[in-house]
Amino acid sequence: MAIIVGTGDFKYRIVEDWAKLPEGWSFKEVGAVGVDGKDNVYVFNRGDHPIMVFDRNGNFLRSWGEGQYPRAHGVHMGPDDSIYLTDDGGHFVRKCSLDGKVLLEIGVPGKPAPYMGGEPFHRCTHTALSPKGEIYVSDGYGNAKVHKYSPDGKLLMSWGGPGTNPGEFNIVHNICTDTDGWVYVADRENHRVQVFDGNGKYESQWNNLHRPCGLYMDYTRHPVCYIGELGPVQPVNRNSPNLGPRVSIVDNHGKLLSRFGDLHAGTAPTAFLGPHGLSVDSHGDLYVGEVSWTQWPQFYPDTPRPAYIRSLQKYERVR
Amino acid sequence: MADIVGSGDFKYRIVENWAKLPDGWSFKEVAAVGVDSQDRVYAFTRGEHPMMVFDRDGNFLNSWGEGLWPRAHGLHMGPDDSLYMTDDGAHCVRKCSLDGKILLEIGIPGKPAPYMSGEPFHRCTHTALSPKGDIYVSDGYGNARVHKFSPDGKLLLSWGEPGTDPGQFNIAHNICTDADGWVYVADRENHRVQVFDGNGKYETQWNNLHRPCGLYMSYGHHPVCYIGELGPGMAVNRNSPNLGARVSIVDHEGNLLARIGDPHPGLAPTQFLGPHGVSVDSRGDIYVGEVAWTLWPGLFPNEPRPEPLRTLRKFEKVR
Repeated sequence: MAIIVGTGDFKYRIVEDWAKLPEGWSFKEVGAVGVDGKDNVYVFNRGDHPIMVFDRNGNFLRSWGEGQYPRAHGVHMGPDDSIYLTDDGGHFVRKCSLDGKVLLEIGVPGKPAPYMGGEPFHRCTHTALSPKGEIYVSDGYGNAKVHKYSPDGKLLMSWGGPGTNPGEFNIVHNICTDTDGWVYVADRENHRVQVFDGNGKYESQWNNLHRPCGLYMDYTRHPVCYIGELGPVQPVNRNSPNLGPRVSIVDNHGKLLSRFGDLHAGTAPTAFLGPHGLSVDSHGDLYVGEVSWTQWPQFYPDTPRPAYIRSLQKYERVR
Repeated sequence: MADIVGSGDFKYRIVENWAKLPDGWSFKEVAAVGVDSQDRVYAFTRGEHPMMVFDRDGNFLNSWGEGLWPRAHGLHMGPDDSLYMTDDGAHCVRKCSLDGKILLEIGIPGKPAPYMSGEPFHRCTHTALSPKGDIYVSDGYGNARVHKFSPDGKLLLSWGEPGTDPGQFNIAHNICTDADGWVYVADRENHRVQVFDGNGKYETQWNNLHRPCGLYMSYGHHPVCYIGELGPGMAVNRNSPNLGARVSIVDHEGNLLARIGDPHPGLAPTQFLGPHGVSVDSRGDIYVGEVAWTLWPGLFPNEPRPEPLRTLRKFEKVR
């Protein structure tokens, strides 16, 4: 029996064991996922093969990036099928061709800017593009900034600072944009998504979320937003139900349309451990990459991590 | 020169070493503070003397409650100078006279309701009173509820459940009311204060807060709210500035009026460690009880806990 999750217009059939990895290969865990114009799926992972590419049926096509990406974090697919990869361990962003050729590099690999100095980058997290092709970078764990670059990588401006007020951030973890130029920032540990105009002017915020971690929007007008939310990992609320990890789908004003994930973190097909990177293909099918390896000890400090933990799942849209 | 903190209409002179404890006594830490109509200060502590009473100059008057309070959590002063004391370790609320006589007990000391069952209590946290004297109890760590009791302790209704939607809670940690009957709940790990009518109908929420922990409102129309906010305690953001610990003062719609506390938690006079219980006397002076002993290892995992830790503060209003 197929498992159907979600509600309303956003129901999905879970496709278990979708990715067919070469024998002996592993994702370890998946930081982010992207889908190209042919619905091939790019899995940016923290194993030995940082990018693994699959067709939409999960057949392995190729890998690249070996030795080049210390800690996969973010993927954004450009409109011209270029792929923007953000590595928080390497403190850099690279624009690559679909076969892994580096077309542009921003930041100095291995050289972080000083912690909370505001200069790019200190554990940058993700990228998005403006309607003109300018590059936004969320930055990240060791800064509380969004940087805006010209398409060729020249720093144009930055905004944000640590804190909880509008325009301040507490782990700037993901970023996406729409064709009207609005910028949506996952302000993870403030439990909100903040919305800015293209030059960083605060517009509004979406609340009622739990540690919003991964964002995905189709690049259109008034797109819905797919949000991966992390679960409770503090001793004080680790056992509480209904706080994620989960995936929520909200409209362009942040109103909840559909939500799935069990009441607690877990390894069941319907549960999540760490939905960190999301992407949607031309069929509306959803791919969710999970940082399960990292999250496991936070949920289960007394249980040894299994050798294999699922870190990628496909959710086929039911129409 | 005394340090002056705050801004605008809410400036305060820091009174260091205010409480004069009997020789060899210790608070261990102060969970909550109340002030009676004579401006005597009641420190509800987790040391050997659960209730210590001081005059407004910090002179020790008396103590009571020895052996009866496993884990002090909340203190609310009734309009008739009765004390409503909430013990999350014992899972009970007691109304006491100013000299410690128990006038009413709700909950069975030592007997928690099942975790997240919704039945009172599982580590209840605080109380507040309706205009008619009905008793609201926030509950708490092991439930996600607010219960409403008649003045004589009969359960009238309960609302809330775990989660992040309006009306759901992620650690219902504190509660206060105003003379119009609005109920304000510190939804700590959802980083917000939720506002309800007297029967639990959701009205609105205040955001832009960090782990709001202790609330205090004077019982009037449109009172300002004093909010103790905990600092960042997760490894991922522990070193970030400007997230507390701090005390924020907001108007009755949640707009920030003043904020006290350095960019980082600490031991300086202008810093906080865990502002957990807040109260204000007739002159507008603020008392802040801090759960410094409990929070120290989360804030400074590699530094031995100093003994004793400062856990009760006075901030004298500057006029």
